[in-house]
This record gives sequence, C-alpha cells and structure tokens, in this order.
Amino acid sequence: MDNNIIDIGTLNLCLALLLLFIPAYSLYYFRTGLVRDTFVAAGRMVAQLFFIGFYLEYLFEWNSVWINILWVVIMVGVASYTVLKRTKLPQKRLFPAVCVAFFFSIVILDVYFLGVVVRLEHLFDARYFIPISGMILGNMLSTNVMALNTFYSGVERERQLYHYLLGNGATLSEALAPFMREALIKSFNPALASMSVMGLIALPGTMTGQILGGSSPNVAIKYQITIMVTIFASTLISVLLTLWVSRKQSFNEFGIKNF
Amino acid sequence: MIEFKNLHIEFNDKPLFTDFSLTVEDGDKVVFFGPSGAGKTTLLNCVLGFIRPQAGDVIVDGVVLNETTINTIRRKIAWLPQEFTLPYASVKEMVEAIFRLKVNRYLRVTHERILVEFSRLGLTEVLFEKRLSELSGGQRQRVMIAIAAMLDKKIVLIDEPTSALDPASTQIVISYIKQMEKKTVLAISHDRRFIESFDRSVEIR
Repeated sequence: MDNNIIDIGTLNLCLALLLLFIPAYSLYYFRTGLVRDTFVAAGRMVAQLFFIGFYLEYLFEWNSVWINILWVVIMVGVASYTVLKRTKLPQKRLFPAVCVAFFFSIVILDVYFLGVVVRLEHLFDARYFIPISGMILGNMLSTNVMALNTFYSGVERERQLYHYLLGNGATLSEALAPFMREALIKSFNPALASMSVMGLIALPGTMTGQILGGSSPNVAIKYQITIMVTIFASTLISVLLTLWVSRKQSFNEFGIKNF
Repeated sequence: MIEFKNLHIEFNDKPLFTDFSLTVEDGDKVVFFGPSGAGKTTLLNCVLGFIRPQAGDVIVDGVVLNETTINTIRRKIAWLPQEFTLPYASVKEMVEAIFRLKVNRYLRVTHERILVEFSRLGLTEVLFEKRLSELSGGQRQRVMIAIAAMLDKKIVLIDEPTSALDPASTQIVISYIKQMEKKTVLAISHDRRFIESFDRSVEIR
C-alpha cells in the first residue's frame, strides 16, 4: 500500500506555502504587527522540518539505542526551555526541574506505550521511540505553560489565602493544593474538550497521517485511541511532576516564594 | 511561652527593631499597639516565620524558630490576619477548608459546636449557609475569630480583630477572647477599649 502514497513535489509544496499570504494579508490589513513574525515562524518551521527529516533518515538508519536516547534528551531540553520561555518564571532556576519532570514523564509513558501496549521488541527502536516521544512532548508544551502560569500567578494573586493556610499549620502541599487544583482545571479543559469531539469535528493528526500513509482506517483508529490516551496521561503526569519538582526550587523551608 | 530575644529587623537598611526583647508567658493575653508602620504585624509575622529577623531569635515553648522547627511551631498556632478576603464561596466552605488540614483533622468539630461558637459571638445560625460576599466586614471578622478559637491551638495570633466592629460587637469579641483561658494570645489593635481590656499592652513605636 505504501506505493500508493502521493509525494508532494517542490512546486506543489510552494503552492501550499502560498496559502500563508492569506493570513499574512489579513494581519497586515489590521496592522497587527505580526506579518514579519508569521513569515519568520513559517520559515523556521520549514527549515526545522527539513532538517529533522534529513536527520531522522540517519537516525533510523543507525538505530542506535544511545543516540536515540540522546536525541530524546535533547528534545526534552528544548521543550523545557520553550515552556519556560513562554512563562514569566525564572528560567535558570526552574529549567532543571522542568527537564527532570519532562524526562520522567516521557520515560514512564514510552515504556508503557511502546513496551506494554504496542509490545515492541526493541523499546528504543528509532522509528517508534523518537516520533512517539516527540508527539508526547509536543502535546505537553501548551498544557505545561498554562499549568505553570496558572499555578504561580494563583499563588501570587491569592497570597493571603496561601499565607493563611500556612500560618494555621498547613503543610506546603496543603497550602498549595488550591493552586494545583486551579492549574489542573485550567490546563486540562482544552485537552478534555478536544478529546470529547475527536472524530466528530476534528480528525486527529496521527489517524490522518496513517491513512494518508496507506494504513487501513481500522488500524489508524486503534493507534489514535491509544495515542490520545497516552498523550492525555503523559500531559497529566508531566504537569503534576513539573509543579511538584518546580515547587522545591520555588519555595524555601518557610514556604516563602524565592522569586 | 513566646520569647522575642534581641530581635534586629530592618527593611531597606532602615531599622524597625533593634535589640527588641519580650517574653509572653503561657496563657498571657498581650496586645501590641502603636502607630501604623511601627512593626506590630512584623512581630506576628516573625512568630509565623514569614519574616526572618536579621539578628536575634523567636523562641516558642523553648524551641528556636528556624528552618527545621517552623512546621512544628506553626502547628501550635491559630492565626487571624488583618481584615482580608479569602476566595471561598461560602462560610461553610471556609470553615470546612481549615478543618480539613491534616493538623486539624483530629478535632472533628461538629455543626452544633460551630453554631454554639457563632452564637457566642452574636452570629446567627443562617450565616453558616451564606455566601461570603453576603457577609459584612464585621461578620466576617467574627466568623474568623470563631474558627481561630475552635482550632484548639495553644497560641492565638490576632491582627486587628475589631477594626470592622461596632462598639457592642467589640465588647462581645473582647469577652470572647478573654475567655480563651488556656490560650496564649498575641493581638494587635488600635482600639482603645480592646487595648485597655487586656492584661498587658506593649506599645510599639
């Protein structure tokens, strides 16, 4: 079936990129100042994807466990940096915490998904390990940005409540629980909404990709279901770990925020 | 017993306390008074570990307050901060939240007990079911005082408990606090009636 895949030629790719002029013109018309950013972002995307495509060819060919793990560690580092850059939190202080949280979330979910669900013979097989890790990480980004922003801005906004609980004998976990709850609710509402309409008003990427790649819809659906559940679980685990590990860097022994 | 021993506290290089010492015996009721900004709330915050003195110690029941003892000390304290708003929807939710903390779970405060304390402070039964936004500042202060009393802690820290109360309610709160016989109370007030009714008052200037 693979032979049926229609390749996209350079000219056709350029035709697709032409679509960018529609949003760019609208952004220019309304003087949003985002035209340059749009083209820079699109340019980066094209360059990064070509680069990764080129690199993945080699990664798949080498298929070395250690290179694959190193690649995922680099992805974790970049993801952590990206998340912190999109928050107003101190990057140097929290970077190790977010890295550790992301890394363990990826390990837990990769082992479970690839080892238990897919039953891969080689857990770190580049063709599965790298794309699945990338997809999980990609989905963690926005949820973690939202969770971190909500959590720390909540502590700042409701400082009276936080101090009131601490001052009346609450443990750090108890005093931070209302803000954890708020962060979870706010960051997971979009994921819940998207999961509940999947297949109705949204055809997910994995499934579409697999069908375009020649898989039967039945196989594509099963992959999609397992991947959706894995992504949902991994984002939750990563948010909990990120908040839990980062708070160790953020509050001193007296419960006072360090920044 | 609470001891402030040779405290030195300064903010932005301006000294607020220099060599400040004070001993409060078990069961004492002490009120701090003095002009705004003199450092009354800072002293309570020192006992709670929210402000660390540059020199000197806060000692509670013979234990020096530091990184390792702060949680033990906070577990002995009921704290009522200066007039403030908590983001709880109802009085019931606010009361329940504080009794759900691990440190207070053993108390098992019943609905009847809550209503008794409410009534001693001149609060009606229906108030318990009301939204927090429906309460006046004075009612909210009395609810908080009732909570502080029910927490059954050895030490009670109260910051301006009568600032939103009328004279009659102030009198009720004064007698209510004085009846906390076994508790050590450190209070802050600008209210002359409140200051005069305490065993001991300390001017902070």
